[in-house]
Amino acid sequence: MRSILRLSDEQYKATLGWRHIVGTIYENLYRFSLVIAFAALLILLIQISSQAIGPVLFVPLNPVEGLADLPLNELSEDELATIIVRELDSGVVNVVRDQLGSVEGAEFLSVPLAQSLPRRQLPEGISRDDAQTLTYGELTSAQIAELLALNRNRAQLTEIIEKQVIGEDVILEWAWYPWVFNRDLVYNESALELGGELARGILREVPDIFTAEDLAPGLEPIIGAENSPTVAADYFRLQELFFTYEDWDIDRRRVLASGSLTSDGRSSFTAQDVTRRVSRDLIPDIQQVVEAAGVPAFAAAQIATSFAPEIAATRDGKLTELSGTLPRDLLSSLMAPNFATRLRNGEYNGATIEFRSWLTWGFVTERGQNSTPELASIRVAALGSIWLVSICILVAFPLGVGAAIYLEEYASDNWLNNLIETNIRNLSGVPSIIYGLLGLAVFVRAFGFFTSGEVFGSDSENGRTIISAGFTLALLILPVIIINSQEALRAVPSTIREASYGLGGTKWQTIWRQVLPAAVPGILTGTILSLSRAVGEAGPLLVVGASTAISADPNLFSGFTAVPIQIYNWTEDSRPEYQHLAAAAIVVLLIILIAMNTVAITLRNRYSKQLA
Amino acid sequence: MNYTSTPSSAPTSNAVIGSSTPAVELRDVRVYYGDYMAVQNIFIPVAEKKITAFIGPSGCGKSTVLRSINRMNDLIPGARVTGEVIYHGQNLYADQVDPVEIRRRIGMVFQKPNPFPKSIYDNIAYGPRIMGVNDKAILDEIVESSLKGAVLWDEVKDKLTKSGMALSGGQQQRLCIARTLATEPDVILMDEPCASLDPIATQKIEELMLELAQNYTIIIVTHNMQQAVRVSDFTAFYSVRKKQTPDGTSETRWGELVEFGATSKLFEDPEKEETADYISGRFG
Repeated sequence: MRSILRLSDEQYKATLGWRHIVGTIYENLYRFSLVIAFAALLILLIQISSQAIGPVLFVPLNPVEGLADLPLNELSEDELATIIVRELDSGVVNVVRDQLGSVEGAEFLSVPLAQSLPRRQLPEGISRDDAQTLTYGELTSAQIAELLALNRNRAQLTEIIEKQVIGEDVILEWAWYPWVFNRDLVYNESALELGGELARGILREVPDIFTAEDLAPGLEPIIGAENSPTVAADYFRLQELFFTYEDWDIDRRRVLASGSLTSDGRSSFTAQDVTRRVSRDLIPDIQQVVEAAGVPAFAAAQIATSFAPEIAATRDGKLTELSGTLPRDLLSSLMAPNFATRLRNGEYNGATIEFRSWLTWGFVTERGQNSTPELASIRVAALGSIWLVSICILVAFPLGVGAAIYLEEYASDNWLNNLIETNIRNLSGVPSIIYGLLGLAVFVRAFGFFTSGEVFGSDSENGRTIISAGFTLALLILPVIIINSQEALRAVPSTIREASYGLGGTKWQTIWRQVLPAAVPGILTGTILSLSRAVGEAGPLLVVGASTAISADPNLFSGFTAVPIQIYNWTEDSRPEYQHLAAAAIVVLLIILIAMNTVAITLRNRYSKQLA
Repeated sequence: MNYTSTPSSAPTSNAVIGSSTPAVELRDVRVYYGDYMAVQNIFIPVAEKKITAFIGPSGCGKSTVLRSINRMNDLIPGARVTGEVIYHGQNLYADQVDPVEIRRRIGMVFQKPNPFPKSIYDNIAYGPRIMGVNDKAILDEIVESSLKGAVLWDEVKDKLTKSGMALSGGQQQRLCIARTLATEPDVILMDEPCASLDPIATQKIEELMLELAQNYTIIIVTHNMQQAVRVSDFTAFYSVRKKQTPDGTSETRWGELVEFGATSKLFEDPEKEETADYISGRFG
């Protein structure tokens, strides 16, 4: 039989080889895409989580006199409680309220103990009857200490002392990877930071010892002979300005207003350079000095090493290249006043580098104060998110699945139903911020009397409450749930419907007993995935009125904050500790999302197995 | 378009089945999908407790007719049936008739085994349950008798809680038959029940059909003429009719009943030449 293809064997072999090559090229392209996607995911995860754990350099903020010699774990609970009450003085009320209280705010002081501290063991001599009239404000210091000792265990009391009484000042902090891959860097940076503070401290001593005339020759090589006397004089004038007055705020404002820091001729060297120069000329044995100042031994050694070449260079009459601007650096060095004092007092005692996790159980569960990074917590935001998701699911799931059942099983194929269905599909693509505006107009404003809880006797000022935000998020994910549920219902084989009808099932029985159970895995997967989207949304919540200044656990009609809002807020904060807190909060959010997705996958697999 | 041409064959007499009261009687049934007429000219008396086979080439409407007997066509949007389907003296297409009740009395087994994605027990118990039977003892009894009725009991009695989807194709089809029996129908419609089964499973189903025919009226659609010969007492042969549309650009097709009679008669001595051509393999 003659070949219709008219291909010779050679031609055939040639095209076959080429077809295989094309196939291989495509296979590798697909593999490459997968590798890129996986790498991106990995980098994202590492990047997010890297800030959540890492080393910190900190010094104790308010060392308790005599406590250094007394190991905390040898003290009794009563003694610990007494230290807390003595050291915190009037501030102890905040600790008691956060740890034991059931009433928020100033009210805690004025309501009877039965209300402010229900179900707590009360100090000896206060009966249940007394508790009905006695208020916290009337308790003596000894009674407060007893209250703490009775209701908290040793570990909890120790933590209060460490965190709230002593506290800590975080000087530097890092992500985890320098600790793992380049630990010397951590120690070097710590040493330089401590050394820098030390130098700044020395700088402040300079005006007492020297005059501008002494400094000018030293500055000459840096800024030239004609400028050096003026600059030195300016410098000393500023020094005087800052250090002779005690009210820092006023001084700072005055200097900034005077504009004296921005005149020409001072832009070629920095305060640190001056400091170094002064240090070098004045202090031959720097290690001796830093050690005397109370800098930990590891840092002192580092400082000595780091500064050694410069000391040598100075002796040889050479100077390093200098850059930056005087005013900014000078200001920044001048604006850290407590270091000088501390340096004089040898308060670098106790400077420690510790590898810690910013994400702790207390960070998640304890009520914190967001103004202090060491005490900040995600609890209120996490509770807010839980409320939001609960409202969201209660509203969106029945509505969404109901609408999907109607559209898939009952709605006839007419223009109105088609229009509705098309629009639902379009709605799922509307940016979430638009839903925020919708929620603001409808739930916050129009239904404010309901969402503020006014009709239920709540005292919220306006409709910017959790319930408004929950409804808004429910609207946001409603189209997605409808579409997903429709797809799931459509995927149920029609043979199942026929079988049910064939046995005498009504339409409702067929849907309820056969179609819906078969569609459950798909519906649940879609719902949970859309809920994960809702959990991560910040935009609409901001519009509806999320606030970060919330310290009380939320309820249905209270103002609220949520995890993404808290993250956003913390990343905006200029203090570096908050970047780490934001990372820890992101990890919490990721864990919530992964948990939700795991539930979705598990449910799907379980139901699919039942169906198979 | 005019489809209301006179029937090409005279209405079949009830005398053919030797009984004046057939279990189901189709009188001039026509099925439309929207404006399109799919089948016309259907006159068939279905003998009680006998097996009636519908045979014919693809597109001749035999399945469509079968599905009109328990009003499954109602589920297809736009489908409409004219004529009468008489069951116990009652036209099933009369206004006051509830299709849900009919489907319980006239059960159906489909071409592809379609057990519910549930346990074997729940598959059988579904019919009684939706009718409101929830007594465990009664359900147990129904499940056992139905499975025995479908000759499946011995194979599955130890794994009633296993999924119905885990059974083999032939077992699944018998499960579907058992499921139908559980609603206590008196007519069972089978739409090519062996089309997706291997010869051994087919043989089992055929044996089951013969056994069921002692108590039930069975109507079976089949592509397999040997099967019709093996199991059926009566056979209805359908064929496809074609006609140019008035504008001449295309043609419409519809099915019609050609001949109905006792299976032995129809296969050995058909009245119509078209029937003879079909059963001898000359077309179709």
